[in-house]
Amino acid sequence: MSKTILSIEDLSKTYQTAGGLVSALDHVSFQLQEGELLAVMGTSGSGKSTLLNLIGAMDEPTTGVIKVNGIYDKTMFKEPKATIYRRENIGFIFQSFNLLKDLSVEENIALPLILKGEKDGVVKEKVSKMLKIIGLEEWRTHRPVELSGGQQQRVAIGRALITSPPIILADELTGNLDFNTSTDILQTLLKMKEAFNQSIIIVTHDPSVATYADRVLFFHDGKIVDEYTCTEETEDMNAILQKFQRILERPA
Amino acid sequence: MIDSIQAIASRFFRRNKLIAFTSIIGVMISITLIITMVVFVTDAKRSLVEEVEKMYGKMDLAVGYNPEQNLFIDEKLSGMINSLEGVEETSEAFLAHYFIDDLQERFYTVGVEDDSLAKSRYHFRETIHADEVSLNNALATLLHTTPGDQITVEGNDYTVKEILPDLEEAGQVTDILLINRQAMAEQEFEKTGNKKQSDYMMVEVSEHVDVYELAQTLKKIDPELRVDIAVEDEFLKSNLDLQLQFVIGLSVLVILITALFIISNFELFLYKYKHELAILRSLGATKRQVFSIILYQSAIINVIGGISALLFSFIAYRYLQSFLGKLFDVATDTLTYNFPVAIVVALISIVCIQAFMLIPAYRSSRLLPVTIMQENEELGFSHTLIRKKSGFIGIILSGFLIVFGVIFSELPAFILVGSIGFLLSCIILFPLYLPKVMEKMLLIMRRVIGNISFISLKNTIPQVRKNTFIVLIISAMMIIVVFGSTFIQTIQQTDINYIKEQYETEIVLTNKLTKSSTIRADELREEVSRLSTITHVSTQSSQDNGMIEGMQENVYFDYSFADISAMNEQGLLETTVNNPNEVIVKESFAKEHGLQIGDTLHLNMDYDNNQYKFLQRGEVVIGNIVKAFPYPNEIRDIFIDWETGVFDPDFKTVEQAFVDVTDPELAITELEGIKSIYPEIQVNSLEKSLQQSKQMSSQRWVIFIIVLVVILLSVMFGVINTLINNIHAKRKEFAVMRVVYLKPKNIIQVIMTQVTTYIALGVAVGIVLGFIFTYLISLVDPGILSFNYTIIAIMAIAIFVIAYIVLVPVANRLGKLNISTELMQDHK
Repeated sequence: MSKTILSIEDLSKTYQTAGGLVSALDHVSFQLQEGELLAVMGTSGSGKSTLLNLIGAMDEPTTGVIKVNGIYDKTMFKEPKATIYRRENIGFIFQSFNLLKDLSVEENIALPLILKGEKDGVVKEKVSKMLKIIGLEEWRTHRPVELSGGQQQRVAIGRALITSPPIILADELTGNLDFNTSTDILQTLLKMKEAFNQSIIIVTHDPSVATYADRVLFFHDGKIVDEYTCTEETEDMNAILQKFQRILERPA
Repeated sequence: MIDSIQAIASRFFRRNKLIAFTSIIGVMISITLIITMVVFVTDAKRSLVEEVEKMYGKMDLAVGYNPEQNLFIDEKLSGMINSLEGVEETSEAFLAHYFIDDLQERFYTVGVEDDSLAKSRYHFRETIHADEVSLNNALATLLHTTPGDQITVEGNDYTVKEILPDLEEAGQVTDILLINRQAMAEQEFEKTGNKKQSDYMMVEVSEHVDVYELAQTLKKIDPELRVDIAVEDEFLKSNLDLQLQFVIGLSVLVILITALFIISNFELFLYKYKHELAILRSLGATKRQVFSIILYQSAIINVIGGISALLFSFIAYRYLQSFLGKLFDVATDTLTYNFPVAIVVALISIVCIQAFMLIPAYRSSRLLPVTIMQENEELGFSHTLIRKKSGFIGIILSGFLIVFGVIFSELPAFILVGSIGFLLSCIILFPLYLPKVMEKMLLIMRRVIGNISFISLKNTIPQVRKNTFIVLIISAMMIIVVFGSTFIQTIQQTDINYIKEQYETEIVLTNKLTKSSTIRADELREEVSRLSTITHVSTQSSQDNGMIEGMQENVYFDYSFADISAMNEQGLLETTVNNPNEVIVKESFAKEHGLQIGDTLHLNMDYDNNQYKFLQRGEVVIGNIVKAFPYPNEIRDIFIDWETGVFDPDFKTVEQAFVDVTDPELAITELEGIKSIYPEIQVNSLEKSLQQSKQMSSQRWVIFIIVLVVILLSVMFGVINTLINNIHAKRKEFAVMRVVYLKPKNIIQVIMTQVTTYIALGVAVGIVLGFIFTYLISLVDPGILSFNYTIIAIMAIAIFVIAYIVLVPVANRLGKLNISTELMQDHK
């Protein structure tokens, strides 16, 4: 039986706006297993990004608990603990890649290790390995602007995984890429998930991306309204599409 | 490959050469300005010390009694002073006004010792023996004496030993006679029977001894002792104080601009890196790590900027100063560059600027990780209510302070603090109301400026916060321009007015010996009129006191003899008299005593101090009443014609002659010639005095213009830098506008409308606030302000011209860029 790496229990987040209180996440609970790829789908404003922000300790929940490896520390959202928590547990992959334009490919990948204070030799060794895995050895000294979108996202994936964090949070990671490149990126991600046994949460609008997941959670108005476990069969695509369609038809 | 936080920081720095370079230039200009200010102040202090030394020699203190105290320094007191700790050297002296028989006049006389202290104080080299005197050049000229000649002083014959250079104090030469102290002591003993040691002592204070402390100790010996400290000379001090006040006022404003400039420039640097820093934070960089990245970069900028400032300021002092001096045709050779002071100032400035830079650095370290960064820029102001409240409270408090300061005139500091408070409150409030002002302006201007400019302006309103810096920094500069130029111009104008007041005509002749001179008014008039360049001449005697009899009680009055009809022809008197026996009375005197035209006055004049009575009596009729007499108007009540048959005016001599001329320069040469007949006559020319005054104020102008030029360059550097960045950040918007409607040339219109709006607002607000601020500050010493509109206009135009020269090509280029590429780019 696989181990629960992340446990979300009764998580809520409300914001104070000029028009009053707005509930972005409403009593959400689920678990993420070690090595699991979980897709989160939903309409805009359904609470997907808020969920990632809370798991990444970049925002503090109003109520609820986030347990990583069964441990809950209610001070984890305060600095500097939040930074340490992110450094040790979370890897981020962004839709717009968010690479540092002034640094080379290998330097971008090495960043989390440098920030962590790893020794130069260790950094070099790990970066070389990662470059081999993501297939960008020849591009190591190039700057991000010289790469294609897909290559840039592969650098971002390499950077997210270099410190081997147990959880990867990917926000629309193929949103800026064409179909072929998206497929290439998702295959890379799967390959790395297998290699490092990491757990991944992908936020996406794209049902074809969701088919790569082990499980799909459907969000609407800050709540989980449906769930689907992928079977690696061809009907997965139709089933996810249908469920997503139903969410789109729901009144906001 | 990078391997540390410092390496990341240095990579950011190297990759952004332009911003790094502009930031360094910013710091350099700022520190240069501060160095310039401080070096100027220290130079002014050094000048003061030199001036003091020139005037007082080695003397640090003067100890003695005032003549009216009837006290003197005796042997005991002299011994006590000499034995005090900290007294290095003393020299004793007598002060008196001795009668020079040849001139029949008393002159300032000092009995001096033959020591270095006295020699340095009174600027003589040769030992003065008991039968010798030394005197200043002007007095020697008056006496027609040279060394070796004999003169008679107080009935005793003396040989002239040395002719001393004339020393000017407040533009006036003080005539001085030096006599041997011992000889003078004997004379004093003969006259008074007092065995005086001296009237006063010159004291040189030992090194490292506080002059003020020693002065206190001396006062303890005898509280009635008068102790004067040389460096506190009133004239020198007030002159320097004025300069210092000006420089301090200017420095405060410069530092304000500097702080704004540095913070804004560095904010720009950080703005570009906001996204990168947020990415680092999401990758696990701690606040401390982000802070150290910024700190490292700011330190590099700062140190390089500081060193460059030292070099630049040195070069500016060495070359720019003389260049500007030549450009404006004024003397600038008095300022010297003080390297040690400059280095200390640069170091302090670097530390302060680093502290300034920590504010944005600290704010950056608090950046949140990238995923929840606000995508929309913060367009509005934070804490609007607090800003509004503090702004209005500031204005009210400042108002109170100013009113208090004006009511209780001994509290000028209240006015000063109130004025600065008012200025700062306006600066706080101004950006909050700027959008509303712009909206109002838009409605009015739409028809004038056309639709494209209208849309462009409308777009700028939500961007006010981002551009507030531009408006504020331009305003601050215009405040400096208005305040500084008005300050200098007002001093200059007051000076000119004072000089002009003294010159009723282009040339005024004055008699140095009004008591003993025998110049007759008619003779002098004739001599002067004979000269080819003279058109009119009139004279007046020195003022004297008389008494009017026959009124309810005896009334004392001040009068002069004058050429009444000649003065009337020259326009110096608004009216004349029908015959010379009539007199003219001043309106204020007539009102005070109920006098009218046609009244008869019984005058008593020519008072004899020995007989205690007036020697001349007579009746005169008031021929006319006038508002004012020629300068000095305030000391005379009645004018009597020289030609009057009622009195014999020979007991008075000419004090002033008012001369109208065709060619002032030639006239001066001609008039100098009559000095051979009347050596006591001094020729004063309005033009010459005005030139001297101009020379004195020119140094202030040069310094001010140097400061203005540097400020203009640094401000425009910051403004253009910010504007270019803001324009680049909106490239996508411009591309969208081009897709929708606009032609490339319209983009220039859009950009330049925005640029013009912000600059115009800055200039207008700055001028208005500058006028108000200057007016408020002037309440400290109320007088008529004289604004230099030319400099204000030139500076305003210069701002627009520099901005257009740089930004029109930028706008032109942006308008021609490929639309599709522009739409794809992220221009942050």
